[in-house]
Amino acid sequence: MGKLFELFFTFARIGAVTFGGGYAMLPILQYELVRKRNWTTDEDLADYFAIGQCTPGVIAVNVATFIGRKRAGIFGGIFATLGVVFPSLVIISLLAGVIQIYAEIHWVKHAFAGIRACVCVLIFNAVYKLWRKSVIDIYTLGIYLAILAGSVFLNLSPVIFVLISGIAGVIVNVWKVKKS
Amino acid sequence: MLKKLYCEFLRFGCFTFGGGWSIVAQMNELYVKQEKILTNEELLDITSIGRSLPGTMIGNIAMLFGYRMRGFFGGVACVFGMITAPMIVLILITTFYSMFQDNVWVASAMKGVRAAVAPVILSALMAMLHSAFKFPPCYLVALLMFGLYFFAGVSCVWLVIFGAILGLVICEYYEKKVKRDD
Repeated sequence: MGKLFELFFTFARIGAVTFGGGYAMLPILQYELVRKRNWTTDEDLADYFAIGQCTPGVIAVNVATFIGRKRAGIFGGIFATLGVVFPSLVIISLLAGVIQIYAEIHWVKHAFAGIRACVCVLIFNAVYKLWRKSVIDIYTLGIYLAILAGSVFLNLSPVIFVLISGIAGVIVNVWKVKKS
Repeated sequence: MLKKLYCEFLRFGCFTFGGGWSIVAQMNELYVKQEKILTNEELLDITSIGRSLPGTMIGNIAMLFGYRMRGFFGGVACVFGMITAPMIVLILITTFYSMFQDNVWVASAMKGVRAAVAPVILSALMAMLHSAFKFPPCYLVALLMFGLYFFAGVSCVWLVIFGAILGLVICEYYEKKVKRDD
């Protein structure tokens, strides 16, 4: 039971300090789950992100279910997922009365323009850490460059990139086995 | 009504991949175009508030919409509907992932996939930079943040506070300037 509550509150905290969602969550996940708690590794986190791209649902929910399920079974998955959306329930309920005014206050929007600049820096740092862990040889560097070019110039769904790079990983392995 | 909200968001949850934007597109299709219970501006408002409040964007949007329709429990119905399908799918997948994680073929596929995650996020980041910066000095702010974070080791909390203040000052100044020039 203690483990379930720990999952719930950890993911509630992650949800509360997320602005936006999706990729903006990566720096927070790295800090809370890898650095601080040692619940997972940078490599596994990249796997969850990739799997999360190909399955229904938003990444925030997917990563929470994945890690919760791995740590404490099915209920772990449920508690972690409820945790990650919990801040939304509380914050929106508290602000519901003033929210019409909130949208009007243009300086809130201005402050967020500045915060977004800083979120970009944090995401960049997260991507850099991921890059160091995932691009480990000449083959993965090739995949990295090809997907980078593809995602900048082609307007394709990330699902396709994940599938292509998975197949590339298998082909490299077949080729390596044959060579040795 | 609660059941209707739950089922609609259950369906949205099934057809959403990656970030949350496709839920917004689906809400637009159903509530704005078909049922006409929401205007385009209202949906835009909900989206921009959802993005700028703490909490995951999509949780906020579901809660805001549900709250507007049926108060607190309407919001809860939407949020729970949205997470039901992904939660079940992911619980199943995790079971298989743990079973096959050490299989040579799965491991080699994942090695390739892992290398693709960084560039996909990097290109999303470039698009984000483009839309985030309304005024030229914001680029300087990003550079300054970059330096403070990587070379001076300033913590994220201070960076966020600092960014909010700078954003406020720069945007206020520029909007006033635009008004003056008119």
